[in-house]
Amino acid sequence: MLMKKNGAVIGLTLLTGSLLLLQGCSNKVAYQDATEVETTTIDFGSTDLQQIAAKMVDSLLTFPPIVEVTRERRPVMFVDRIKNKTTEHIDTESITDTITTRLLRSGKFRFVDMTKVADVREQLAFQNRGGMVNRNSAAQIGRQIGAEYMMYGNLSSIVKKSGDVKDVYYKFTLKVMHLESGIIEWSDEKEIRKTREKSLFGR
Amino acid sequence: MGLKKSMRWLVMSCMALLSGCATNSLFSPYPSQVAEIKQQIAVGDFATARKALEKKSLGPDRMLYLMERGRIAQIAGDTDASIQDFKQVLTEFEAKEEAAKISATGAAGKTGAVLLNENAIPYAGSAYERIFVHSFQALNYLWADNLEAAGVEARRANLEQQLALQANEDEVERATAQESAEETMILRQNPSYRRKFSSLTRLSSKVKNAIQNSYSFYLSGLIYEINGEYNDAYIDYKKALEIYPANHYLRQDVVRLARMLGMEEDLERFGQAEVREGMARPAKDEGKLVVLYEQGYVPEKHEVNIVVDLRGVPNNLVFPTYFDRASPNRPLVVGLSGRRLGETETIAEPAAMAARALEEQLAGMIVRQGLRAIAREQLKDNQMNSTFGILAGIGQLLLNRADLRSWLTLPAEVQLLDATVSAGKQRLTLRNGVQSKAITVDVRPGRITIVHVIAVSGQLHARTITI
Repeated sequence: MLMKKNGAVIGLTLLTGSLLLLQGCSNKVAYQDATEVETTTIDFGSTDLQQIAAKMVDSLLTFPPIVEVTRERRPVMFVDRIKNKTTEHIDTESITDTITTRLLRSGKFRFVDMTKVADVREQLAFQNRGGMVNRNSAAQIGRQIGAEYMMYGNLSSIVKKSGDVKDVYYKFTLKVMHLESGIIEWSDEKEIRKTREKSLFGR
Repeated sequence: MGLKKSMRWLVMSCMALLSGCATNSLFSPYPSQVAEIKQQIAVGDFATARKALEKKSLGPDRMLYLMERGRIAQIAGDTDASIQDFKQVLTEFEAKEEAAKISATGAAGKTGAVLLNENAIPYAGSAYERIFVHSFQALNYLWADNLEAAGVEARRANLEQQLALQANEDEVERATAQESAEETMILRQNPSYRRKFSSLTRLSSKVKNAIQNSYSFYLSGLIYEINGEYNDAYIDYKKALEIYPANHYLRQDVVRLARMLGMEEDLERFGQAEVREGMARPAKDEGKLVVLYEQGYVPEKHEVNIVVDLRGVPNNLVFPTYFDRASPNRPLVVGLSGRRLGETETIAEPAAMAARALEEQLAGMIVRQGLRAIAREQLKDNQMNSTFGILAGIGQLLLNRADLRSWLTLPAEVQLLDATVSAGKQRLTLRNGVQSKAITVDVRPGRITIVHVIAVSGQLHARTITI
């Protein structure tokens, strides 16, 4: 009887011991600086996005002909999409959002948002034809400002792997076209290359 | 006495721990688990089939169960659920790829497997399976009206093929360079092991390698073409044609694009009649119709006993293998508006690719099983009374089972038909000699209409989209 009890105790200790071990790897949450270099994985990440946006905005705002055009006025621009030609699902809208925000903040450009056209049309129709809104305060149809420039681009990548080393190369190309003349006023690219070597030990 | 009792406790608690992860294939062979699910698919009860996999898709073999679940959702036509499952599968593949070379979790599984059974190692997936996941996911994104994501998956499928081919070459070099003395000895004593797997090698000989997937190349070509990237489309159609040079739909696609892009030199390898046929430009009121026909299930692995010489002593060891007795594949006869359009032609044989993948692992498996048998013998001899001895004994008696896990809802064969047809809403008939089905397709001028047909368990599942 006593023996049996002993055995049970050993078994229990073993079980609780393994449970304790498992407990040891519970999660931990901490806040980090959003602009800190992030290298959790080799995939497209926040640092890549920030580097691309910073380079593009600097390059565009310091380009002499653009400086000339934006000296006296704030031209209106619209953003076409950035084509994702990589092998990753990347939210390219997020890259253009960052770029447009920074350009707007610079006070040199103004933007029209093509993704909101349907909503705006609905609201204007409501104000002008809904019969609910005072005519004097209704925003009038047909008075929006047409964009002068179009911004568009490409994100492509080349991935290579040999043994334990993986190498990723991204190339982001951005262009600004003068809509009326069809001339590309400015273009620049940002290249990023990252490598990852498999660690020997780990979880 | 006391020691023995406590040992019994230890063994029992170990068993309890193992049964805790009974969601894997330690106790119930994988094919029989899937057989039940296939029965539910046969009666159209997709909800039950998916539910049966729900709990298992949280266990150590989740990658495998999620592949099955994603495919079941695809057969059922539930694109969103399929996308979610395949997304998780791909995350698993990436995590496995990123994992450190020597990992604590991996090592735990492997030590267990040396004593017990390969089914204890979490399922890691094969390259050919990963490529199919990418291709199926590309199709899903087409149906979800997300062309950009479809393009990403198509490029990913191509990239993975390229990387897997490269890795295969590296592996061969590495294996020959650093084989241990014991490994070389096991292989040297069993020079004709391949002959003992004759049905496996017969099936696998249908394809050149397990990785190059012409279905995947065709799909990425198609997606490039939809996106207007004709040069990329041409390259992928050409790669698909290299693998199945007899497929005349692929030949026509290559001729058509070669003509369009002015690749005159490439046209020289085709006959004049073929060039003339492929040259015919679609008229203004014509569109392209593509029928993708995925039929049956890949065969399941079976367990065989093979005699392997270890240190001069014949040992009876268990191995997984494929039996080459798949039912013959029939083409799908396609009719449009009462007129016979043609028959589908083979573009991929996942059954043979699976066999090829297994065959490529044969040498490694023999070495591993051999080393395991030697280790077990030593443990039994030296420590018959110790806990390890008992565990090893249990392992050999009860749990010495071959690893029969593989993605089983993959089609056995994929076939293709593509044609330029006149636009308009039309009745499309599909017949494969046993079943038939009629659906309405909406062909629009200058656009591509895709019909995805899956034939499983005596039923034809078809869905269509015009892009």
